[in-house]
Amino acid sequence: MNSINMDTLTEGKIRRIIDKKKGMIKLSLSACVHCSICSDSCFKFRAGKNDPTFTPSYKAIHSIGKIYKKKGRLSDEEYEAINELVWNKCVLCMRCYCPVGISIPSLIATARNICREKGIYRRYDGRGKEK
Amino acid sequence: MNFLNAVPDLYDFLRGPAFVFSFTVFALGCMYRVGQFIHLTKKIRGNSIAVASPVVDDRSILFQGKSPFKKILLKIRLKLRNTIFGTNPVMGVVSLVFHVLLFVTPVFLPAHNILADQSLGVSLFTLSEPLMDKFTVLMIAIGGFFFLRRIFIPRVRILSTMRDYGILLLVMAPFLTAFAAYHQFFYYRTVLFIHMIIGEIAIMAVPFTRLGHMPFFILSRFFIRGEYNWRPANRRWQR
Repeated sequence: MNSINMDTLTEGKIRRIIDKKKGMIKLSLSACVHCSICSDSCFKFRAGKNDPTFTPSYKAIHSIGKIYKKKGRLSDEEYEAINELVWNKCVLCMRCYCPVGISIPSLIATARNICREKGIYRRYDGRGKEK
Repeated sequence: MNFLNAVPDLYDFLRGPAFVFSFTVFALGCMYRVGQFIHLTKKIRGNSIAVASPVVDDRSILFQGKSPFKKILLKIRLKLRNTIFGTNPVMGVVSLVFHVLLFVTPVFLPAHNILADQSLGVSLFTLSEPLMDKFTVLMIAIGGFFFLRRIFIPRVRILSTMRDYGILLLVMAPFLTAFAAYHQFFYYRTVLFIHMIIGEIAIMAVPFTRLGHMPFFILSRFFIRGEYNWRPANRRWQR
């Protein structure tokens, strides 16, 4: 089975979202110095026994960063990993503080938009993904 | 390494055209970044984006019964609470010192100002050489701290790539070579040439690498409207 499962319509929608935000994503990711200072402002990081994957910049780089790099053409497994980062490890409380001034919530929100187009969003019935 | 003595032109080239070229690339690159930023952002007209303000923000109770000095301290603490100085004061101070010295050390160094005076007839005021030597040692120490932090702290290690180590090395190399040249370690002229070449590469790299956080910081923190940003903050990202 082909792991890249994307119909033309969804692909078009995802590409449009990426194109719309391309400049902001590119500029923001290139300005990130990977200092991890943003983790101190994330309550999920603090509550998550300092698990480094809760670091806001990690969540942004490994969600929208990956999607942008591969133009949305990720495998289902990769989207599942992104689902975990942007829906379960982030509540989009907008409290993350970047000393450089990168808007991390905007990046994660864009990743969420793309996930929604793929039918991936927060579910409360334990399934995690729309079938 | 005596062959370097036979090429005095290299020194003149590095302090003249090569420096002008690197500074021009830096300036044009920063202008490109500013243009890109203006293109990607939009001016906010009036108060089209309402800045959230808490319904109840009566902090006067916190100040009751405190001396004026303690009130000032509390005000500063409340202001800094959500910034790096509130969440991670050690890292905040170390970063601030690093970035201030990154600017102050090369700009107010007597040797650099003598070169500027010889070439352009203008120079800035300078700080003493022994003080600059101490600043350089402090810079190297902080660079070492950042390097160890990348290796030993899991949340930094997980984000670090080879490019991050390379950028840190690129920033630290001019200080390491400057220290070696000032104390005449190794072959003076070789070290001096390496210092000049790496310094010029580092200047050129600013707008095009992760060092681009320098212009980005100014543009984002002063011009994008946001809770943590400073005035004028009258722009927002295009939607």
